[in-house]
Amino acid sequence: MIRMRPGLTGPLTVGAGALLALTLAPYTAHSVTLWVVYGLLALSFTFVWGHGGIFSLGQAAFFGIGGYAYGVAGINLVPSTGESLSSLLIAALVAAAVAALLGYFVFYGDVGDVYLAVITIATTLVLLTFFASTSDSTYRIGNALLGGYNGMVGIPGLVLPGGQRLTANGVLAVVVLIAGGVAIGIAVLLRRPFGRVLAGIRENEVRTQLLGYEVRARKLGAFVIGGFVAGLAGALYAAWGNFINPQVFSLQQASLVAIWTLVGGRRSIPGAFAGAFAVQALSDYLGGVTEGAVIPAVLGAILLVVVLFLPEGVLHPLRERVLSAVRKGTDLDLGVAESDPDPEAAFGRDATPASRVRTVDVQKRFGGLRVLRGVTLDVAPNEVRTVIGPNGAGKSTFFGLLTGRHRPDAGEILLDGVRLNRLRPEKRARLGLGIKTQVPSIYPELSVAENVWIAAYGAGPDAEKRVAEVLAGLRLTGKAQLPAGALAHGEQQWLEIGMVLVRRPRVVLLDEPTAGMTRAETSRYVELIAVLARSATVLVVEHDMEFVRDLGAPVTMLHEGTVFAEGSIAELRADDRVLDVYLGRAKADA
Amino acid sequence: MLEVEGLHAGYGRTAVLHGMTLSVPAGSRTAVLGRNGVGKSTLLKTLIGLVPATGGRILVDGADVTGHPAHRRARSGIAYVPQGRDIFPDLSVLDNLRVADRTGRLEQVFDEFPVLREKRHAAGGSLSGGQQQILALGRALMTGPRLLLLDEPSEGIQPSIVDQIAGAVRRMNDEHGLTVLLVEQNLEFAAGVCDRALIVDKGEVVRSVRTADLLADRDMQHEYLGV
Repeated sequence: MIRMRPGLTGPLTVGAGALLALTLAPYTAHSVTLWVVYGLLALSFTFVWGHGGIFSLGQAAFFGIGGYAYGVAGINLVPSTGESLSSLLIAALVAAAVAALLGYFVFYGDVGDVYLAVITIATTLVLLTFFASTSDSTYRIGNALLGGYNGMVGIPGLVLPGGQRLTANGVLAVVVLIAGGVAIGIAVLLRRPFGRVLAGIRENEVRTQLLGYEVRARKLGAFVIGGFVAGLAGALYAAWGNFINPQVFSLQQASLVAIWTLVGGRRSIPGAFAGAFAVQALSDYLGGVTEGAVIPAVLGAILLVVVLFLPEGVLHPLRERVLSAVRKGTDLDLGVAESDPDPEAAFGRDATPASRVRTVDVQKRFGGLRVLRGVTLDVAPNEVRTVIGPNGAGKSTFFGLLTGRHRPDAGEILLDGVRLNRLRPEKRARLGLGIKTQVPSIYPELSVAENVWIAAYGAGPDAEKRVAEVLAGLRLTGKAQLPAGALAHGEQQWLEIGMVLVRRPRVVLLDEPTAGMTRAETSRYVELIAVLARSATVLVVEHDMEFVRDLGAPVTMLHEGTVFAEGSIAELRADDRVLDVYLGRAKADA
Repeated sequence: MLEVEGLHAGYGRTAVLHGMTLSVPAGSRTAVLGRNGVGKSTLLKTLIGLVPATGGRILVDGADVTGHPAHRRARSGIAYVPQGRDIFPDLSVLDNLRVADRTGRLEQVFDEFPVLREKRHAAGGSLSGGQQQILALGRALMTGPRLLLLDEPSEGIQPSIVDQIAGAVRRMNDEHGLTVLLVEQNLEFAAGVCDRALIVDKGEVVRSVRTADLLADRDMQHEYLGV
């Protein structure tokens, strides 16, 4: 159902490329080597941004660090080792280490997306200034002079073990093999669980966190890999030209990386190379026939055209044409409405003891506003409890305290006696808390099967089997390969509940689960909750009173941040004070 | 004045209004009541054009405005006072009003709400909640509207100012023939301003009643407004 292994296309393409490299004219081979190196740099950005959703403008910085590190390592080591592959590896590792350091502060500091872009570009420019000011001969590491604005010279080229010198064609072939190997490695990684969860983080970070994944560590991991690849590209660049200067840290170089990737398509691995080739070939051509000053203007125009008309890159229309030719004939039945979901088949389990949820006098204020003045609640294992209240009663804030979105100012939140107060959402999820938010929170661009798989993978073995069961019960098997965003609203709601329940939570929190649902869908939901309660404690925040009545569960009513009334829905209906609150009368007393 | 026929609207794929039909006669004061989440605020946002209609028609004095952008509707005489007021907190009271000034009604608004004249140099954000609500109402009146859409003006405001707002809205209606469509949770306030109420449930108008009848009928309150 979910493809884990790439085909042979990648290795064959790389092999063919390496062979082709040996047939080019030496001067052409020399130019093309640079394009491949730039393609590798573009690939690092495609990976961190296109696949990881991390808009890092620092790839040029890691490229430059890789280049300088290769220079230092190569100048000092190659004379004794007689090969330069170890220096390449050292350079890439140095760049990865710098990425790890920078990434740690950025991701663990919970810096927002825009600030991440600003911080990474600022780091790049700081490096530009630093390396430009190292002209003094005291700036040396071993035999390597950093060289200030003029850069570092005398960097050894590629030398294979055995020490034989390579021709220009040989260098190109080796660079193609290295870059191709990295590209295949990244393609494989993206199909592995790491890549799938990364796609989940990119598509919907909150949902991924609520499924129990430590988002920060995974983003840091992706960032470090991106730094490694960019550093490797930088090392190859320094080996190719036998020199490096601070211009690699320039604003122009940093923006070129984004241009290559955008032209090639932000998710496309071959596209990273195609983008770099196309843009560099055009720049070289323009540099030949004009003064060269026109190049930035032309590149800018290309960028605009690509962003406006080819947002998926230049290779995308081509790929679509091939795919649609392949699809023709295979009849995918998209229009057929399958029968209603079957909660019993999807989630029915033997009765198991669930967890007890308690809150003791939890309080929360935002600025001067006391939203929760002390809520005490005790929900027994396998109980269903509904929380209601008029606008502004504090329902959403209370829900946010349970999920870990907010932290209480005072009071206790307990799950089977374990204090949750300050735990992050992913930790709560791993303790058995399943959370369904109000707006369907899914991964719209991933397939339906991938959506459920990401949820299932983090929660024990047999992920594939549980995915199949849940999809069958939700009657979504026929749509398993569709992007989840293409499902109808009601189906998306069910898909999300499937993602929550495939993890077999011991407590399920539902925030207005029937918002936007039809009456028929709502009554299926009542059945679902009955099935759920056999193996989980269920807490529903809801304001659809018909649904609350159909559910027939005990009700806790919040008002002005505290528990106003508790009892059956019939008892609350009979209580005139409750009606007064709903009609806005009680406010006059406040 | 306002005719709404089979209106559908929502947010993304979440449909909130499922074919809402209603009619507001010129010069009337009509309340829209119902529980949380039934689509009352979405109705007003769709009427002013902040939420696009996905089906149905909105007619103002017989003219179809369904596809018009919000600024065109505002110019054609619809004024909208959103929930939470949305005044410009960093602008002075005077500038808050001037932003909306197309018809030179500043003095008239100051006469209607003397507190705004008194505080005209204070920043909007420094006013109390009730004063901010009055400012939002005054700002809406600056555009010289014929139809006023009010979204929960009584929310979080002390009773004396709630009464003042109710009085002002009634007066604008009596003296200038302004048509009023009021969304409320506070039944007493709604009944104090409007004679007729449309009860909304699940994105549709389910009843049209006299507010006096609703006020006296506890069963009906339970059915449509209580728990």
